[in-house]
Amino acid sequence: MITAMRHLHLLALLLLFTACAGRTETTRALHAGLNSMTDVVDPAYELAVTTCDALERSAVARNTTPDTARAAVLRVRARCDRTFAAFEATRAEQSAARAVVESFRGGTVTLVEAVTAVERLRAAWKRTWALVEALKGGQ
Amino acid sequence: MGDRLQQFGDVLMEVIPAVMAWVRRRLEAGDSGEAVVRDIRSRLAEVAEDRAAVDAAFAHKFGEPLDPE
Repeated sequence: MITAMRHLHLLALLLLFTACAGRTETTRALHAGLNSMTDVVDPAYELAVTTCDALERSAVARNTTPDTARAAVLRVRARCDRTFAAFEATRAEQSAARAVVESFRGGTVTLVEAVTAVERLRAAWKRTWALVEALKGGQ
Repeated sequence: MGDRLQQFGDVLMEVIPAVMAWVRRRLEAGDSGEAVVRDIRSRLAEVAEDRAAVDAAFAHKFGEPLDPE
């Protein structure tokens, strides 16, 4: 419900902005928003890769038998695989959102479609960040 | 991991014309190529390298492969 209200709020603001500023400026604003998200996603991806590597190395170092070490490493890998898959999905949403925003600039899609693409990206990022938080907390 | 990379590639292929237009516009606007690449980069190759190193550390410590298959 809150997400839907935020969506409507954002859409209303963008519609107002479009009416006042025009398509080119709106496209620029949408791209600025996407760039800001990249500024957050990219270091978070790096953090996840680094954390997973450290967890795997630690699993090898602290276990004294091959069976327990193997089980520990594979547990970490399964968790990290889910996180990396979420990052790749977020990357795909980013590329898709870029494309939709460019199409909006070209006049082949509506503002609602462009905003929806950005919102999908935001939702993908929210799911990804929850997995990173779980990794950081060792959950 | 290969499947995910493939899926990511498929999505990119679908949207590539518009993404290339965006890349061109950013470069024309003065953004560095590095910044643009950072935007679209996957880290799966880096993960594969890290895991190969862990596999080697495991084999060195225990004298057997991490993944026997």
